[in-house]
Amino acid sequence: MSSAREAVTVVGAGPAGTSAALALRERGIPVTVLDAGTARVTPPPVGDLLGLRLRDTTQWQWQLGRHGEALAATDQASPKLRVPGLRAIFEGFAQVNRIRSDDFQVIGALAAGGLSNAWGCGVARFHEDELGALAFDQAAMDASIERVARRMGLSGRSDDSLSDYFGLDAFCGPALAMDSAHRALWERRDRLGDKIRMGRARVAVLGESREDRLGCDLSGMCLWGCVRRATWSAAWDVEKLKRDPGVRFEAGARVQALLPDGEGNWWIDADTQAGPRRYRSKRVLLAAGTLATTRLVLAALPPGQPALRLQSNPMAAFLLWLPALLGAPRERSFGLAQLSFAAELGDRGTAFGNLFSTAGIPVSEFLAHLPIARRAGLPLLKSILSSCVVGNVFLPGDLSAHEVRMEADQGLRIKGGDDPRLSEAFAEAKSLLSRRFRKAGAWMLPGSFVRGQTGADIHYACTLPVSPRPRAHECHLNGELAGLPGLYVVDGAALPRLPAKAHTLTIMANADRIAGKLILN
Amino acid sequence: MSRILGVTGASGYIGQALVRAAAASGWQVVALGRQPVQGVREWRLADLGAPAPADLTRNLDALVHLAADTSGSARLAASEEHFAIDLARQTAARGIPMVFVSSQAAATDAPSAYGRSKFAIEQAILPLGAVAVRPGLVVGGPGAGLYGLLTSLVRALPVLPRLVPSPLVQPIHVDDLAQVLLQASARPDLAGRSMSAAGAPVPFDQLLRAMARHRLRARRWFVPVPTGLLRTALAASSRVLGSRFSPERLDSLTRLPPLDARADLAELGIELRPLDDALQRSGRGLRRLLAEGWTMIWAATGTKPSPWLCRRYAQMLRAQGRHDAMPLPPGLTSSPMMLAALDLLHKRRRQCAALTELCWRLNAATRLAEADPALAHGFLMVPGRSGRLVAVTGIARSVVRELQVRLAAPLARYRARGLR
Repeated sequence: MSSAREAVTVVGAGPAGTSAALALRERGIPVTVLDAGTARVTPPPVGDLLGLRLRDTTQWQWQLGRHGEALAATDQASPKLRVPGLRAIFEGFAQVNRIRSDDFQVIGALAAGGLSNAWGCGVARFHEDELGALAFDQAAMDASIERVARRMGLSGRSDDSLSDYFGLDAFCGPALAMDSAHRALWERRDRLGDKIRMGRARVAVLGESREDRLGCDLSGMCLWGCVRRATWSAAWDVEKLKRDPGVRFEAGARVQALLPDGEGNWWIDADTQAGPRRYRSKRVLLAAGTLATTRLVLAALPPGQPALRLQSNPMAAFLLWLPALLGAPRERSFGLAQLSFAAELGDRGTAFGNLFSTAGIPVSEFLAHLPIARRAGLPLLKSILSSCVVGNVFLPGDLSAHEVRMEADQGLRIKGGDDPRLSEAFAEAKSLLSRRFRKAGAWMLPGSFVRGQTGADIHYACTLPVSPRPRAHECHLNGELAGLPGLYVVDGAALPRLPAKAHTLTIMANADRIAGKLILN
Repeated sequence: MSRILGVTGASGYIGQALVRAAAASGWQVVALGRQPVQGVREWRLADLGAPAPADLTRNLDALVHLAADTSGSARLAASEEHFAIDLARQTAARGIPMVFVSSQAAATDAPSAYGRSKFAIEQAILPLGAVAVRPGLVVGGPGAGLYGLLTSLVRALPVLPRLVPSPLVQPIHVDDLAQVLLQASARPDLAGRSMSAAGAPVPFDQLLRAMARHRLRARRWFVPVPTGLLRTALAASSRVLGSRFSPERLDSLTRLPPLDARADLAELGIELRPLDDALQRSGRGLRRLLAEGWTMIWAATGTKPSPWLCRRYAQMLRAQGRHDAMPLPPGLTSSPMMLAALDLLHKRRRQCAALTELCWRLNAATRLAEADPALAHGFLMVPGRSGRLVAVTGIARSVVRELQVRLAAPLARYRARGLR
């Protein structure tokens, strides 16, 4: 059974799994990829958002789903999780991976391409203090970041006060055009004071067309799906992997357990569409996503493991109104982050946030949150939304305090929790943003600052961190788990720290680094 | 191979519904009658006024005998009885079930010849192994049969009689009856039984009132009329009015033996739809759901929606397992302002299942309205229709609307006091 082909197996084909598999293929190493995905993602509509909304008589199909799927999902806090075409991505994740939670919203993807099928495309580089133990291999991390960044195709380069914070301008194309509201804020950025630095958002979105992907045309369809593939998704790299004869891509293989075979290999038990199946591999690179990977590792260890700490970025959203623009019409604009900011919260660390156009999100989404009747709120929102921008703000992961532990039936139980400093940090972020944005002519609308549900940020990380001297449940610098030779963690679970800034690129770079150095014999 | 069902009277009111239901359940239908019938596998000539052909029931797997003479002719009644007995003998010989559609009026001392004839046939064929089904007042679907007569009466007359004492009727939707007949056709174990198929008794004028409301969307006035007086009037004018309005027909309405069908329906595994649904044109509450969509969308957006959008609302709700309009008190559903006030009530933390469901539907209405290009201008400040003045007007409209809703709120709260 243990052919050369099965020397290395990657579990999961999201951003981390594809990065690891592509890095192995660059070295000419054959690789097996086990991916849980079977879901077909509905192709996104073609056209620009404003034009479609004014003319497309079939738009209810992509906005609500043929059977009103979006209406069924009212328990989901984020509009993205309700997009009918993306629903299949999120379905079944918790059940298949046996993940349960208290006070914590579990979101994951079984689809090929993972959560990047529906991400915000934010990218940033972790600096030395943010890398933690990964800083011990910083030269390799830097090389991996460049490789991954060039593969994804970034834009947002700008000489602004976030250039160093993002640290990616060397590989970024120019920033995409802003709409008038963001331009107005941008022109007044010097009024934000010294605690808030604002810059253009750095995003994994193509400005210029290349190979099989087209550059962004500001259609504003980002939320609903980019038919041009300007936004990066690991799903595009999955297609590359599937075409590669050196890759054995097993779609629909849902890995349930890992067992040592006693000869230095691992048995990988998976549920497939044809029933249970067993694979064997010398090296297993775990990239199933932080939660699923953590469960597989804990299940491979003897019972009675202690609870592990899980981090995520506590998150809030808010609405800024620019009275100077009142009466402005809707305009064609980019649907993901146009501006970003870093806000200093003293000893609570640095918060990070983005500003978006309101155009991409249905008005009904705002209407549901307004404290007045819908029929009264509608003319109000129609009047002011095009002079508003939506903001989100993420706080550092060390302000979260979640725990994960194994249950008797090998399911994973997550208990959501907050660091005692969290409420103050939110209050301070709200007050700081509200005060400083007002100086720049943007009013935070009363009641619009809303904390997201715990876990809804989906930035899960740090359960099995890389450490220079790993103890149990930690990884060596090369990604290998302490005490479990042959098992490597290449996804978010291996991050030592979770700052507020976007972490996907760092996870991908780490996967690329580990796969690039993987020693086979 | 699908089974073959023979049906006499297949072109009639109940027959058409039965043919439809049989096809939907995978039966092939052979129509037995004087006239060819569309949409069936085969037609065989048969006439109640003549003996049944010897091979009339060949290769059938079951037979439903619906055909009946309603003219009251004594000569036909005798022949009809012979015809039914012929059929019962043939089906017994072939060992297939025969379902005979009798009448609630069937009784040895029934006021109408129709009721007496049905009773006589029952007596003759039950010992041969046939099943008799006695339906209540059949309603719903196209306006045909007695139901059609009542519909045209209610449509034509602004004032209707409320009979005193009021007779009780037991309505059953024609499609529900078709299901009963189909079930019975597949049940050889029921041989020799007489089954009832009827809804709960309701006063006759209540039925007329419900028909006016649900079927004709109209309000009707009722004047009390002593039943005896009406009978006398009908008897006096019977020459003019003909058999459709004979005093006998009135008698068969007022002197119906009550049916308790609950046990029989349970045995057949059939649940009757509620009367209000049965009287909708669609028979399934679609009309009420469409009406709800209209009010909901108007309530949520302040704009009256197109019929097309209401239809989409109904479709979406049904796809989400919500098959009927919410059972809210009429004082709440009739006015968009009341619904808007309930929206506000819910947003201000009055939590109850009914209000949560209501707001779910209001949200659905809003999302659907937003996805309709015809209403997009209500949601988006579009180029060409923008500007500060437009925005300020919109904000002012919002303030006015919120004030209206708040003024309506106490009344809405009062009317919603019973909601759970």
